[in-house]
Amino acid sequence: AEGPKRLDVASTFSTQNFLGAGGVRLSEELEKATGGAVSLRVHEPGDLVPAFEVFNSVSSGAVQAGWDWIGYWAGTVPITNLYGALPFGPTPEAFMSWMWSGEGTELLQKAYDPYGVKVLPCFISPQETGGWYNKEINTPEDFDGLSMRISGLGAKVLNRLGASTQLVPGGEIYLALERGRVDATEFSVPQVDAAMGFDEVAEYYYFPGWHQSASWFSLIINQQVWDQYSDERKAQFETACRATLQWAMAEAPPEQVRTIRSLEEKGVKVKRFPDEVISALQDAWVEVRQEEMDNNPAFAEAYKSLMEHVALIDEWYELQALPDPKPVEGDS
Amino acid sequence: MPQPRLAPWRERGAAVCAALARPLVGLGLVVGRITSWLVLLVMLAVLTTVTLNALGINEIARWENDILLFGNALTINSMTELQWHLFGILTLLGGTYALHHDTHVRVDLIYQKLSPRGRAIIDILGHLLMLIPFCLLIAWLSKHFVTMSYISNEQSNYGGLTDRYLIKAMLPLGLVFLALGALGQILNNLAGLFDPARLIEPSDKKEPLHG
Amino acid sequence: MAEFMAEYALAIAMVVALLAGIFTGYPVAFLLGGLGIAFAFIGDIPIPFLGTVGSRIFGGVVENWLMIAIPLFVFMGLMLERSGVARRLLLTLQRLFGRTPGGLAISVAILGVVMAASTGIIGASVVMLGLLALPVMMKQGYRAEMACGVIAASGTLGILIPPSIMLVLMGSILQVSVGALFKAALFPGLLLGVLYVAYLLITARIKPDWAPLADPDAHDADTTPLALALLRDLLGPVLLITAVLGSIMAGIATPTEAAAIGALGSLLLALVMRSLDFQTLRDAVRETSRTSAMILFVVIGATCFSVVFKRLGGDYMIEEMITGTGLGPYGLLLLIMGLIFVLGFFLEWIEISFVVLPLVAPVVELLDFGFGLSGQALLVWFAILVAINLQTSFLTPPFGYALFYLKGITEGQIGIGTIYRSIIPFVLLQLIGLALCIAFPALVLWLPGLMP
Ligand code: NA
Ligand code: NA
Repeated sequence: AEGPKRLDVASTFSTQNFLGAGGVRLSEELEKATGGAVSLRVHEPGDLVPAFEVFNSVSSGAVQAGWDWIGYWAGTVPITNLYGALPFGPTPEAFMSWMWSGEGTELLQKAYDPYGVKVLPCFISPQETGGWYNKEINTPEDFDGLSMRISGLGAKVLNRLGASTQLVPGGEIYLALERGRVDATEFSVPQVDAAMGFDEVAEYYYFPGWHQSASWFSLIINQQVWDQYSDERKAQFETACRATLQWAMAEAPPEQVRTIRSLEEKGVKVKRFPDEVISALQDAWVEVRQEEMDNNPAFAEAYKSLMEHVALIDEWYELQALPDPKPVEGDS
Repeated sequence: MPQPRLAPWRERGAAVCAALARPLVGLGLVVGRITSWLVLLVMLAVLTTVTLNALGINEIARWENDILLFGNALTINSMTELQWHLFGILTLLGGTYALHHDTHVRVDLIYQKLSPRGRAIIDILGHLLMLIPFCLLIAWLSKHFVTMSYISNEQSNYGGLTDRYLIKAMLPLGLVFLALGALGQILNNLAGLFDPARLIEPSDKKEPLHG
Repeated sequence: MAEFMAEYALAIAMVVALLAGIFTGYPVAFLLGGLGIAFAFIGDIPIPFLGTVGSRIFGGVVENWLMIAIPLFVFMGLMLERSGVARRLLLTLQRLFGRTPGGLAISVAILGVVMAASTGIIGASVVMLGLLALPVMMKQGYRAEMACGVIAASGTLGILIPPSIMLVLMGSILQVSVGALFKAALFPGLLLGVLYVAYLLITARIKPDWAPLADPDAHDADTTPLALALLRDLLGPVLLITAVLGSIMAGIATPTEAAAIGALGSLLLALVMRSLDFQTLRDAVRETSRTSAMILFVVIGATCFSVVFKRLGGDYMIEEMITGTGLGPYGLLLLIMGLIFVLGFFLEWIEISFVVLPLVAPVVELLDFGFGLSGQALLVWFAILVAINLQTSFLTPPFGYALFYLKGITEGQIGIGTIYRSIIPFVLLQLIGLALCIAFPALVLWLPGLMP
């Protein structure tokens, strides 16, 4: 039997923003690749099930497929923290290399197998930002007592520096930040953050996003549904997926800088964490990482594999490094 | 002159139904009364969160061995998540409590003009065709949702509570509990159909409202 | 038309069954859930799909942190009622309005506006206001229609007047500034409040027996000079409202958390007033539990109904109704408004926002109404019109959830028919408010500085 011609996909993001739009793009690519034989119907978050329920609904077969940020499932599959938000992780390019030429996808699939979920990593968002702050961060001590909305491994790192990291639902972040119930929040890339209106209620926009150097999004499909497709169809899914990833990698970075410029025009102060702060964060991360690797063998395996792979790439680029291009005459 | 008001089989039927209904309704009421107090705990949990945030405290305590639900630390996010855990139990079990007090909203334009017998029939049919199938089917289908949470040892990704399956299991439990409550109501209404004297007038029904 | 009916036969049948079903008097919450299941079988939907319902209940109700405000605000309302604090406040407020006919009802409307600024949860505000004011108004001989109407209408203002979760959600769906939406919603929200008060003033003058003044004897009984009485009776509640609003403003609490501060405050207030004993507390928590469950089970039932409704093509049906016409800008705007109004009969505002707004936003953005609005300004204006409309949908029979919640706390003393009748004038006022905002966009766009 041939699988469904129209897959119902529960998205964890509104298709009105860049993250959810990735799902729509994937559908277009899939229609092209299959000559219109298969398409996706991307449902808005909450339309079928609430965002946080997507993984488990795909697993049970209540929903055929989902479009997700991989890190959402860390409560269930702890290894996904590595794919969704790995502090001080590799660049998107290096990460992609591990996903497709290394063990990345394989290890993720292995973690999803017990739940009957097929995963196709299809989209990467560029490095997120360091977050929106209403307090200046000049020294690592400034994190002490800071209340920030942030989850996952990044939160554990901040906890070590004395920050109170907490959970504020998406709809209340704006007000919580405006009123000072939290001093800071991280959310996503500038393009998405800007749509949330955080520029109206936060003074500083910090970089770099140390807590998340690249984050993966994927199409997840109920295994039984996936198995109904022929090998040819499966290959077409992969093709559409890679085309979507390429689109995301090409499209995103310049758009973020354009967004940052327009935010600056609105009066947002764009800042970088001082080196001393970044170094303290990294030290704290080393401790968190050790704890994570001790407690979670699957995480340790994936992390080591990723780092070995990244080391090869780094070595190649170091060998080949060239100085920055000299400015064209006439440029200021 | 004492009136032989009912055929014996009707009297017997009414008595049997009422006897069967009593424990079901009683259980719903007792559990509802106990869980009602959770609203004060929800309030305390929220106030604790607010206080901890104002003081900039993230971790209240940390200990060696994992304990149920709390893992090995009590943090501000444990308190935040405790809020909705308690709220979830309050709501899911409160549904049955509200059922026994007839608090669930009815559009009573026609209903209030019906005879007690007519109302009993509507409630019996409604519970049998609407409420009980809803509760049992959704409870059954949430089996995967609970077992998956248990097998994966699902927990907070914010350093909050562990053992997420406990609150997830409250969903099917609460729904089955509501179905049992509905069964109790059906039996009560059947008793009323056998023996109309047992059909409680709305004014009598109000009596335990503040009790 | 016939083709349309055939294609969406099941979705239409579902709505018809719901309408027929609610008039049997069987509880609405259970009917919504049961019909969802029944139509899943009739429509031959694969059973595993209904697994979404459990997830929706868990994610939408249990794990939904915002819903925690419901029991807390309900408890606050009950404590204020039981401790007699609310009654005295309302009576003194009424004295403040002197011999103004309808003074008590006007006090309720003002209280509604103040509460709207602290919460945005409709179920909680309606129930709290109802618990506070309904017994007082009925005791004073108000016509039930008058009392219920003002409570339900004022109780729904919270979703429009900022802070409002609905506006935050709309901001992210329409990609417009939440701050601009908050500013834009303020005047329309207050305008509706003013319309209510004007209506109450006029009605009380024309029909004095609908809104009788307090028994003069009762007034004489309270010989405290007005200023002192005000100080005495206002102090507690004002402190309480200040604590709730103040804790949000000062950044101590989110609006959800402020509900807990209000609940604690009402408890302390009752303690100070020496009206807190074990039995009062026990009764209050028990009633809180039942009333909150009543509200939340309507949400639980509706979530089952709507996921099946959409699966049967209900959302495509809506899409077709909007896009399949060849109307001009105002025609299209009115059609969209009408459609949202009707959808509000049986869908939750969250779902309407997610289903309808993304469909119509691109269309609306391109409409030219002839007064040179930018695309953003147009969307802000449109969002506020939708917001007023959705607020109204809570009030429109037969599926006005605000009406259900109010009905839920009357303990059978007031029939739904009375409540339906009570709301008619207020729905008309809502429509007048909506029409004014359509006719004069400046009402919406002036404050956020978006008027060209
Ligand atoms: Na509000
Ligand atoms: Na309505």
